[in-house]
Amino acid sequence: MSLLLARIGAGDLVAPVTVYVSQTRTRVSAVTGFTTDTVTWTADEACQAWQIREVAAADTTIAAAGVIVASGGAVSAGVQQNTDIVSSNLSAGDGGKLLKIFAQDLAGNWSA
Amino acid sequence: MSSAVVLELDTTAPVVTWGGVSGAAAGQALVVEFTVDEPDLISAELVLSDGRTRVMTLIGGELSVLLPADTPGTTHHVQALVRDEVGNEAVRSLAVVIDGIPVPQPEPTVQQRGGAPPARLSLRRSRRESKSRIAVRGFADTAVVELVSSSRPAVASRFTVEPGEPEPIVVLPPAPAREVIIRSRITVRGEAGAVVDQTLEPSTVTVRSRYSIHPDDTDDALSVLLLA
Repeated sequence: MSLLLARIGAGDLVAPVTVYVSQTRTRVSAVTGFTTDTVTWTADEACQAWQIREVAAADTTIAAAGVIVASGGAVSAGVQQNTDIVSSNLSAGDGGKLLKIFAQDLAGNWSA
Repeated sequence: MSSAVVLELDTTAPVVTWGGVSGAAAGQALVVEFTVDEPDLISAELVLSDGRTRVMTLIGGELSVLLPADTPGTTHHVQALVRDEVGNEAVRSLAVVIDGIPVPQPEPTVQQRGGAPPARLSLRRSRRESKSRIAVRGFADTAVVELVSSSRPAVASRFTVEPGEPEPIVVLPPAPAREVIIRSRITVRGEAGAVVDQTLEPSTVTVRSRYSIHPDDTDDALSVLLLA
């Protein structure tokens, strides 16, 4: 029993942290040449998956997040990722869309 | 440090709000004031009723052009091209009545028709969006013309012409030439009734009534010829 507890206690319960770095444009449209914004971001640890979702607030967790506008697989710790956000993947209606970057580490923890 | 970013979706072309108009007389410098809700107004021209065009000069919030001395005294149109920084583009129009040389009126043609023949209505489109259509639903005591655009539901328009007093938002110049500027949806009553009445005379008179339709959110422009 003591051995089992020790193994659980050693598990990774710390969520990764993603950081937004930059974006190529702040406004997109449906017009060719203006449909895509490239967002650059990083994760502080190796991750097996990531998603960028529309959220209602910056502190929204992935469980409550909205539309997935982009997603992908493994990323390395600290390596900048360039992700295209295409206007057709955004929710309908003009206006500002708050997008949040979520990543899932190798232990299955999603970033907050 | 943040893991969130804001991205604005903008699919709407800039909207022009027209202001005062001065110098609206043949030979004068026509000046049209405007504001636009986002940059940028690219260019503008004045399209005269006889088909001639004049490029307008853009300075600040004003468009100006020197009107030809032989500008017809009727309604002309300012057409402004607007485009924002994400490529949303549109042509915004303004109807301007110019005090100019009298427009020659076509001579009425007397046709011999017995009794009270049903009025005949034909339509001619001068310009419209490809997704728009125009249909005639009838023309007797009442003429109903529908303009439907599938591009944006908001521009669906219908106007009804029937006997009665003109509504205050519509000004119909005397027959036979009329122009009606409509925004979105409107009911036109009054002068068109005279057209119907004239067809009921023993000697039918051919009257041409022209309607120019300018829905607010599109560059649609239709010319409708009513032949009674």
